[in-house]
Amino acid sequence: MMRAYYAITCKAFFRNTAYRSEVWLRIFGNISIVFIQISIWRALLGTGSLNGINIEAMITYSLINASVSMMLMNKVIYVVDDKLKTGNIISDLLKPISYPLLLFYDELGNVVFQIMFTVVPTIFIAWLIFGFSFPTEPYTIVAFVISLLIALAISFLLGYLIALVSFWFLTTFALDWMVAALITVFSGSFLPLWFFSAEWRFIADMLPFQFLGFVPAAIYMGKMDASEILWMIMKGSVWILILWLATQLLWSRAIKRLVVQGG
Amino acid sequence: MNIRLFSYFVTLIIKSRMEYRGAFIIGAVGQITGYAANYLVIWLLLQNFDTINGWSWTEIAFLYSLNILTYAIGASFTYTPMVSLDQTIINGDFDKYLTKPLSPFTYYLANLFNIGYIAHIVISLLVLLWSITQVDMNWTAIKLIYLVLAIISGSFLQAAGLVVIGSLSFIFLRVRYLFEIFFKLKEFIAYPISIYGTLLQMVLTWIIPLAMINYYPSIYLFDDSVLTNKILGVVALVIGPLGFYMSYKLWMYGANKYQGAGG
Amino acid sequence: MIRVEGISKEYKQFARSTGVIGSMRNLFSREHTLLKAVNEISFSIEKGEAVGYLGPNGAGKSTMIKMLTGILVPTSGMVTVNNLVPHKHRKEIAKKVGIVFGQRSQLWWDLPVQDSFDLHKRIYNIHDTDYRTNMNIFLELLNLKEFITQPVRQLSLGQRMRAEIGLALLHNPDILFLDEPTIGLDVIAKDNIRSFIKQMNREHKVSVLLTTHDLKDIEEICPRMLIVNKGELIFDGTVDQLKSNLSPGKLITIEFESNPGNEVELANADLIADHGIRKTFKIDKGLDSAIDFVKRVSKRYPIKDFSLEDSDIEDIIRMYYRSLDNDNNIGIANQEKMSVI
Repeated sequence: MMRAYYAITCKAFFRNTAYRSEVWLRIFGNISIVFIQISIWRALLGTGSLNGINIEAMITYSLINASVSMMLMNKVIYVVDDKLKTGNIISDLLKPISYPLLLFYDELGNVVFQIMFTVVPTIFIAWLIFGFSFPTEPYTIVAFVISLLIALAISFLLGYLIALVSFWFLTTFALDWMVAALITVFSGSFLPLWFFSAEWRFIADMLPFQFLGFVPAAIYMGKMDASEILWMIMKGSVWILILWLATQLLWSRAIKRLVVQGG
Repeated sequence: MNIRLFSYFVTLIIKSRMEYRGAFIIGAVGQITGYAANYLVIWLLLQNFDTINGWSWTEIAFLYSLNILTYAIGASFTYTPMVSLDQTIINGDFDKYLTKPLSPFTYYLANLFNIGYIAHIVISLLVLLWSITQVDMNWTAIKLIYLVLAIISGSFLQAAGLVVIGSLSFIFLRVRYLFEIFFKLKEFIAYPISIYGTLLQMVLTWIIPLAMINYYPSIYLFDDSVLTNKILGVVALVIGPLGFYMSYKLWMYGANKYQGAGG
Repeated sequence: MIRVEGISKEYKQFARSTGVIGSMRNLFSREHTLLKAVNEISFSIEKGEAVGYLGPNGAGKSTMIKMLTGILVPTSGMVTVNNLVPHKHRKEIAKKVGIVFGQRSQLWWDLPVQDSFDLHKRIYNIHDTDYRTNMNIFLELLNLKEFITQPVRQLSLGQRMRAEIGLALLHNPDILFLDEPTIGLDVIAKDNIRSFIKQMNREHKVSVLLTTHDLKDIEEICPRMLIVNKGELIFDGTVDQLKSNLSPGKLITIEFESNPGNEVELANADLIADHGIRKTFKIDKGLDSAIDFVKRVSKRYPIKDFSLEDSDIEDIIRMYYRSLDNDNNIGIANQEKMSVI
């Protein structure tokens, strides 16, 4: 079975290579965004610091967030949407593979491609231009990798969940906008949660979006101690479980509806 | 095409969209949420820092709204037609725009006018009007007239950007990624361009004059005692219609090439 | 009304790579092949004529219509419609012609049919009285009244095509161009459309030029047909002329009083089936020679009955194309022979 998933991921990866000429444009776009953010932070922080955060820290923070956002899988919403509209979903249901896992490994192929051809070059170029600090502690790296996996899983489940919800509302893009809005604010990808006031920080802590940007970056930068990291990993795992249960519930409902409608 | 005919097209488009009222309303809510999130992040940011390069929250809100409002107006007319132009040509559907006693340019724009930007217009106009009451300056009749003209000119300039890229569809096969670059570049003017280095400011003023959309009108309105603000403020009123006229010429050149070189 | 003199249309086909960067590379590499979609074609169409334009896929049929309507500019040659050069006077021509592209709709998908007609009234500045007159004709003859208030998305393909044709004729054009008007329709819908077009042509003197795959369209509507292949005009004449000129032979089955044996051999006839007293012959020439043949046979052998079979027109044209494909030289030679200009 593992071999089948591996094949799906490879297929998705090579599907991306058809668009490799556009990779440069994407890298340019990412560098621009990082550059804008750094310019803002430079204007705000100058040579000083706020809450112990200086401009060097914010450069690293912006770059990590730009990179993580390229790996997120919430765009899976459009893949499911297309298949629901065209009815192709039926053929996927007949395969002896779990549908969400099939989607996940397909998306993973995209992510691997993004990492190799967009994230790594972006980081390299940004490192040349802006400078960039690397973590020193080995356990930080391990924790960072785990936090990335949590980000992948949560973004995937969120996208998949919204796709299933859109099965009833029949409009994916509006729901995607709303989720994107929540991610913009509460993932901390632009404004780190350190700078949130107490009540906004409370809301952000109650939501799963911080795992899509703020948490990996904070871990990478060594801004969390071991107990905080453990707590975050536990919290992330609980979120994965909750979202997974929610998708299972919606999925079985959607299937019932599909069967009733006869496809 | 006269304005009456154009508005009849718009009437039909509204009628068509109202066939799917539910989706339209959910879409509008989604867009408003999306933009509200962007405003919220900037507001949260300025809770910590008071100003970005001397720009207060209300001033930034004004600058930001001017960008969104002019984009929404310009994009209502040009986004959908220009983004779909490459596919329209490839599918052979462009021919239909050359079979009527109308200019293909206005016919094409009228036929694909997008009423969906109304949500953008509502939220940006509300914030703009609110910021006008809050910004620390004296509003005179002349300044209000200037603001109206600046909105018109900015809308033309935003539309011009989309038309220029759309025109390239007649030459290149696909231009989707150029639109993505355009939107990334537009991110630069979400904040006052004074946070960037001199070179980039020059580029955004004279080469890709995006700063004429919101930055120069804003600094003229906030401080008309400086001569350069006055001059650039006037330039900003002229450059929009001029840019749009040039983009129209380029588009017509492309359409002629299409007729000669075939589809 | 329409004059076409030595018109050609070439497309440059670049060895393209896709994507923006690929396209930029294409900008500098000038490798291309020339594709002649239309090659040195001449013909003219008078007012009130109905002409079928026939050819296989890729024969340049649509390209010709696009040049006649000013959508495309010819690479060389002269074309005038109503004494105007279409691409130079595109808007004037647009007022004088109606166009129906079988696979592209002019109708507004989500709106009642009526709205599309109202829009066209405004686009063409149609006078109220003209509009009412025409609408009354269409409501009856095209039976639009059956569905004029329904959204287009709810119509059948046949109903949609009726609406498309009405829309194209709303501004009283002198010429109606139809590109595959019956494609994908069922038999009854095809019949409706054909009889309406025929009526508009005969009674309202609208000139018609239609391209099609379906020879039935031409047999029913068009006394005259033009056949193109690989961009070249290979036949211009009536359907009957085509039949007698291109027909590879007629089949005559004769039933004899008694079996005359195998030695029935006559000039210009091959025995192709022998069932004793019933024999089938193939002869080369047209109807007259067939009757002559029967007369000659009946003089020598008493015959009971005979039947004459025409080769199906579609078979003839199919065979003809095949022969062109098999041997281009013979094709060109045939073309000289076949022209009935």
